[in-house]
Amino acid sequence: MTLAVCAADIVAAGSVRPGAVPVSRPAPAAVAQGEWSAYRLDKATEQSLSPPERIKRMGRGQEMAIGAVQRALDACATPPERGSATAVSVGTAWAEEGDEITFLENLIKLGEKGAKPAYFVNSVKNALASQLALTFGLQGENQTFAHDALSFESSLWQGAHLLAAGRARHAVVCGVEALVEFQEIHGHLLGWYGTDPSPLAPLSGQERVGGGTLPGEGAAAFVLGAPGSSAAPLARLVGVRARGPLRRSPAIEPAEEIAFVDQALLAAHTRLEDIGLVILGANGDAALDASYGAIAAGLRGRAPHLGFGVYRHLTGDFATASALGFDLAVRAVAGRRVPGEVRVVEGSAGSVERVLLYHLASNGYHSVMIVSS
Amino acid sequence: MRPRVVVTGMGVVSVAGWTLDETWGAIVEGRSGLGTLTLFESQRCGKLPVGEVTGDPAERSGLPGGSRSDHLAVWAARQAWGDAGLAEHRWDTDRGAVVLGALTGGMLFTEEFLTRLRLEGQVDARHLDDRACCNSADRIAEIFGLGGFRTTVSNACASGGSALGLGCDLIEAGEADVVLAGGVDSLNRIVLNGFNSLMLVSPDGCRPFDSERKGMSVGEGAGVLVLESEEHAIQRGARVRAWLAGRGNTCDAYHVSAPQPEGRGLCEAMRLALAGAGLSPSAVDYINAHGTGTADNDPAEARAIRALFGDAAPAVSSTKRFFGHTLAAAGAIEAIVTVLALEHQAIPPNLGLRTVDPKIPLSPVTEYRPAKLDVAMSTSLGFGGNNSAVLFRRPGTWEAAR
Repeated sequence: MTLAVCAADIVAAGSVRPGAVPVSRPAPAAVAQGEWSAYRLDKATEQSLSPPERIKRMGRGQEMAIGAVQRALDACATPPERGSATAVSVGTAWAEEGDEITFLENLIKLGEKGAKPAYFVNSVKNALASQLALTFGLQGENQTFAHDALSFESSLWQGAHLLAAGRARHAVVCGVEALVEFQEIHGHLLGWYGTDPSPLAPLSGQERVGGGTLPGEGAAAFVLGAPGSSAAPLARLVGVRARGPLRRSPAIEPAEEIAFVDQALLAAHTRLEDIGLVILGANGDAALDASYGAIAAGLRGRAPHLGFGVYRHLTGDFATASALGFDLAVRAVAGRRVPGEVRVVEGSAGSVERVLLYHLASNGYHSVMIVSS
Repeated sequence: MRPRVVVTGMGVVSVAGWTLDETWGAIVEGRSGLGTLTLFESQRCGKLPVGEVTGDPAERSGLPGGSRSDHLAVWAARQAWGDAGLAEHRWDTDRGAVVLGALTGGMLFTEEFLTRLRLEGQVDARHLDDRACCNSADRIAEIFGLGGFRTTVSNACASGGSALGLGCDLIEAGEADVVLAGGVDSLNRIVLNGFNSLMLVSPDGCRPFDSERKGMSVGEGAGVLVLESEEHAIQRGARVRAWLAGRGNTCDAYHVSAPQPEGRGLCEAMRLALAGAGLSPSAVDYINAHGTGTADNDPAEARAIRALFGDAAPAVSSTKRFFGHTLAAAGAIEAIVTVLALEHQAIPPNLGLRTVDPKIPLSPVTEYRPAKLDVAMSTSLGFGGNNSAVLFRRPGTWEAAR
């Protein structure tokens, strides 16, 4: 069943994106030869997130989340009030795993005397959400969702629900992931990431040498308000549906995925005909791209007007990249045109009054988010 | 009108026991489960009393593969599922959701992988896919065929209570009829050394609210509650164990690891729970406190209770010395203890308390004590200033409010 129809105005948005081109670094010698590539924040962006006046050392995830939220707040005509009326809802699969691994590496290399408290405190997954609360003085409900590719969608639903239930006047929702070497090791050993250093080109038909995708990182934040609470919202969230499979590593069936999209549309009281643009989470991995292609073809067969766009050539692949896709969807609706960064892979997307985001992970997690003008 | 959310099933595992009966038995007998760490070697922490579950969780869970957390969570969920009689009724499992609090997931696998890599140069990727903290919720959904939403809440030590609150959200929003909600965490090197590096772990076992308390005791376990809309529970003839009548979640926005000293955030969370239930403070008969036994937590929590309830504070006890601080599981396990207290009409003792710290403006209950309990609350606090309060009512006490 659905996790749907929690309408909310998207009052403002802000994001921190990696550089447009993957960066290669030597693979850890103990694990692999050669180089590994990833979409990483460029130096200027990194520096902009660490202003010299910030005394306390933070992890990169915290800095990225704060950066994205700061940009969203700066874009608000009237910023949400501090205190208990504003909630914080963060989606992050791995949170500050860099500090967690540093803590553990110290234990291994130096023995237990190497245990450093600051790394431990940051290793707790809500370190990001609580740092947002601290930095911006937000004392409302504070939630961290850490459920792989459902993390951002969970936080978005919760933020919208709090508004609908009258438990917050605003909700700051953020999806964030900071790439660390251990995640690269993890992803390469499990065969998710390839060694082809060329930029991702999802659904382009270009085969990547050796297959796989490339990892990435980034953050996107949104200020949500109750419907009608803002004079000029960027867009309106009209539906979120997210679900996991009932068995591990399921075979992807396009017909079932299309049915999933249909159920999400139904729950959001929206017809496929009303959608102008579909943004897909395709990541350049040949097998997953093939599934996305089949699903897109099925949808286009029923609604030939649909345009299809992709964005992971901008972000790389990570669990909460859907937050950056959502940011692009919001901007598309707000500007009434497809943002230049979105690569339209099929159709022309004439009207972008309603945009549907569809994400599918190889482990069977999938989600639909719908935004409207 | 919001649908009522009732508890129709519960399952628990901790060092205090593998079942509800064993857990309550330990409470009645005043038997602490804290003991010796055997799960891994630790030079610095090896002699600290911990709440390590004895026996093999994998044997209980019946789960092929998976992390220690997964096994604990699945075992608790199996109990809760059976207790609720969900297998005996036909219902739409696509309207069944899972919300689990979890912090560290398969951290033991991460530790093992990195240790072998760094010390032996060995790459052993066998268990990498089982290290994420969301796996436990996935395994539960898979086993019971729950096709609704699932998520993992990671609000530090308030995760379990937060997960119960989110479960209520799903039911109240009409997104689910049944939610398996709770929390899980297992012992690992990072958590034990982490708390020890902060000098928060007691060398002789936690003594919540005591004047000579020296810190917390780390434990592990899982608690899962079956939350259900009252209408759905009635339709299928389920036994209702309690009504989850109110909950509150707040953030101190005060410090990354310490609670606000006056407990203002917790006080607000408790106030929200009462407001949600439409009750005044005087209606509360018992509070199962977070009561970790650390220098900062206990006075902050006591002040929060005092601020809300004044001189007429209800009976209070912390049950941490029975099972240790089970992190993300704590809020769920203690919620279960709170419901059991309502059922047994008895107040669990604040084990380990000898002399109340003068800074604690409360008189926690030190002996198991029969009492008339209609309304009871469980509180949780976590790093980052996360606070959670959940409030339960005994069946038969809310008909007049209908």
